[in-house]
Formats: sequence, structure tokens, C-alpha cells
Amino acid sequence: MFENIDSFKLASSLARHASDRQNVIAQNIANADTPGYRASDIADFASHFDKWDWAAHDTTNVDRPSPPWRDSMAQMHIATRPEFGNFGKEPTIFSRFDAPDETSPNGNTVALENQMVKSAAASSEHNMALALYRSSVDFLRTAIGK
Amino acid sequence: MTDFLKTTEISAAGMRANAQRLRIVSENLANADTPGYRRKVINFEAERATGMVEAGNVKLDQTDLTVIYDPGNPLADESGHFNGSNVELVTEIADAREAQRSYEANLNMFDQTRQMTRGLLELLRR
Repeated sequence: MFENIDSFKLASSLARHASDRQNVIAQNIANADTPGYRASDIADFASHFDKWDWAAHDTTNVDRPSPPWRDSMAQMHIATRPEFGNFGKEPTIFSRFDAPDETSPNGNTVALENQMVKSAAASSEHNMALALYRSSVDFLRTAIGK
Repeated sequence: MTDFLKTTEISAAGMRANAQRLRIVSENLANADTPGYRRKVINFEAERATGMVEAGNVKLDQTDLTVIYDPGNPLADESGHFNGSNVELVTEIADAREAQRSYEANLNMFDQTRQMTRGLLELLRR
């Protein structure tokens, strides 16, 4: 029911981005001493958001096309529905890219310090998403007078 | 939610691998004075599909053993020499420190992910 309201969608998309990023960072840290391992990362949420050309689509226009995070959310809800065959299969909506910190002699490109900073950022992003969700709920409550 | 579970599993795999590495280091240190002992080494391997890390098979370091001169030792040959181990204490200590540091990083990650999960579950409490 809440998925149809934009701010909830945005909050949920942001939380998902934070959790995906946390997952990638955990992999990097776990492989911090694996020879030849290359650090990866996913783009920050703002850059996913900025891809949408807001100016070209007037917000007062009733049948404006939906922004990209909305499309990806819609796909996500379809794809994660527990059906036979694709149960448990999580679509990755945020694609990964190679993000080397510094190369050590054994070919590993993970620097623990950088990864720690990134994970702190992911954690606060998640907090922000939850706060956004909570305040949206409050907003809704106020609107219905409870 | 399941994403967070996966994340904690990855961190746990990292901790497991580093604990194994630390065990190998302590075995080497314990046998630093064992005649003919070759130090053990393990390699970390990344699992491409899951992103987890795994400690590979134990291998023996094939560098030359140190030759010790001690004519009174029962193991000594005619010239009074015998083979010691090829364990170098400084290398082992450095390895142990690195394993500890990586273990802590993984533990930190585990804790942080758990806190994120808790934040998510808090949403249900109202």
C-alpha cells in the first residue's frame, strides 16, 4: 500500500542502495588479503538520481514518465515476489564497477581505511532512509488525523 | 533483509579465514625451534559467485632450513651441524598482526550490518 507513495519509494530505494553498498564493502573487506582480488564499488545514490532529467519533465504534468529509481523499484517488486523458480533471486539494480584503492605487491587493490569510510557512509545513508520512512509515516498519520 | 544476512555471512567468512591464518601462525611460532620443521603458509581465495573468502590448502615453505652448529646435539652430523626450522619470528609476528587487523575489520563490518538490520526492524515497533 505504501509503495505507491513517492517518498516511501524513495526511502525504500535509498535503503536498498545502502544495503547493496554495505554488501559490496563487506566483500572487499573479507578479501582484503586475497592475492589478485580487485576492489569493487557501486555508484552513490545521488548519481543514480541525477541521471533523471527533472527539468525536461514538468512535475505538474500529469502523465510524466516515471523516474529511473521508480522503474527499478517496480521491477524489483515484481522480481522479488516469492514465486517458484526465482525465489530468493535478488535482482541487482545497482551495477558494480572496479574501484581500486591502491595496488599492493600481490595485486590486491583493497585499502581497509577507505573501505571503512565507505561503510560508515553506507550506514548513515541507511539511517537517513529509515528516518525518511519514519517521518513519512508521521506525515501520513497527521494527514488522516491520528 | 536477506541482503543483510548475506553481508553478515561474508563478514563471518572473512573472520573464519583470518582465524585459520592466525592458527597457522601460532603453529609456526610454536615449532620455531623444532629441528627440520618447515613453516606452513596458506593462501586466501575469493569465491567469485558469493564474494566470500576462503583459506586455501596448507602449503609448506620450501626455503632452505637454517643450519645450526652444535656438536653436542644428538642430531648433529660428523661436522657438528644439524637442520633447524625455517620459521622467522619477525615474519610470523607481522603476519599475526595483519591477521588480527583484518579480523577486526571484518568484525566491525559485522557489527555495523547488525546495527543496520536492527534499525530496519525498529520500523515495525510502531
